[in-house]
Amino acid sequence: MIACVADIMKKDIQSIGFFDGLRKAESTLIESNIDCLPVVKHGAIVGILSLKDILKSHPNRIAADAMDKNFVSIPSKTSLWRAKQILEENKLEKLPVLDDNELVGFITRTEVLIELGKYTDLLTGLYRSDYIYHQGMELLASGCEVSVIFLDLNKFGVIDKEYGHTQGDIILKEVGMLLKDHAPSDTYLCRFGGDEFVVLTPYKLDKCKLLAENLIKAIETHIFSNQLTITAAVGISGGRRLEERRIVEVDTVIDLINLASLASTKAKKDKQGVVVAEGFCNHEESATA
Amino acid sequence: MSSTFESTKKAEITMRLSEFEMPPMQDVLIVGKRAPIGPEAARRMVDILSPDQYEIVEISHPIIEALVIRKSLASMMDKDKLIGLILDEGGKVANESTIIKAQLNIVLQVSKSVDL
Repeated sequence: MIACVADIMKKDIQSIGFFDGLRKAESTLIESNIDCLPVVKHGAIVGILSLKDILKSHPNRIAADAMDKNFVSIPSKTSLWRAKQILEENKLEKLPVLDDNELVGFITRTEVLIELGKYTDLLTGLYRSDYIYHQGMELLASGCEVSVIFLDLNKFGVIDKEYGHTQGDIILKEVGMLLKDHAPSDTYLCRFGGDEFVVLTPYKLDKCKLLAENLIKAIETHIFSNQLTITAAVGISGGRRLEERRIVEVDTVIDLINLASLASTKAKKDKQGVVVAEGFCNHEESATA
Repeated sequence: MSSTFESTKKAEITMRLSEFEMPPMQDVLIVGKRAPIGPEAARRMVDILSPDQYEIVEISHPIIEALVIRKSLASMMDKDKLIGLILDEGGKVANESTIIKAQLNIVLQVSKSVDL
């Protein structure tokens, strides 16, 4: 469900010994057409040696005296969004993948960005649902409150049929932009599917409801470039936790999204703007029962 | 017309014999940042040639990467003071690509008076 580093990492790893000379390292890099090598001592990775490190060191040196000792690594189960974040925060091009301190692969920034591109909706430029599952897990793991806004456009199927799909696409694109503009920076947005959008927030129910109402208002008052009038129905779940979460699993996020989705269907059916889901996460209930 | 050329090849050998100093690095080595050997290589060298007698101190300095110091010196005076002194003087003559060998003598002068 969540794309992780193990899915894209290169497993064919070349490495170099701690006491190996830079000449050997240089030839390995050139022959393998790569730009950095893990330096291994007693089976464990102790540094990363790049072409840049080799160029700025005396050629007589050993790998141990030219490598970067302050390297950053990630476990293979890390999500691609987290990997991207780590690469950007540390201004890195490559990351070694370590499981139980054993080198199991390598990922590059380019590969991560290409893969994440597959999880981006080309029409709206928003991430797809995977992104929300990942961010939901991150929020749960950090002990934050989690609430979900499930936004569904009203009568979108009718618009597609009456005005054509290209007009429908214009609406989706502009709704995507509106949500991007109005969603606060501490929330996470995705196009969940068709005419459905999800905003994940670290807010309690009241604040989440307020945000949902603002988003509905922004859509309703927006003058779309094709002059069509659009309204939205919203379902909300979560944001009411009294105790600390005992379980941090993706199923909790899935349950929250599902509850919000059902609430949005109710909102649409009852012609209400916002409906708050009444149920709780099935997954958590069954796990704690 | 014919001519004859004579050619000879000679090799002159000079030999200089001197005693290999043990240990070859004396009291202190100042290792430049782009020196042919770095701290790990120096550590390996001293560990093999003179086990347990030298300490490698990696330092933060614009041109010097590490110091190899004879442990007995550090036991005679405060290590930080010793490093400061070596960097003060060594930094003036060292450059990024050199390894400087330094000899250091510490003479402690103690004078005490006691009541008779």
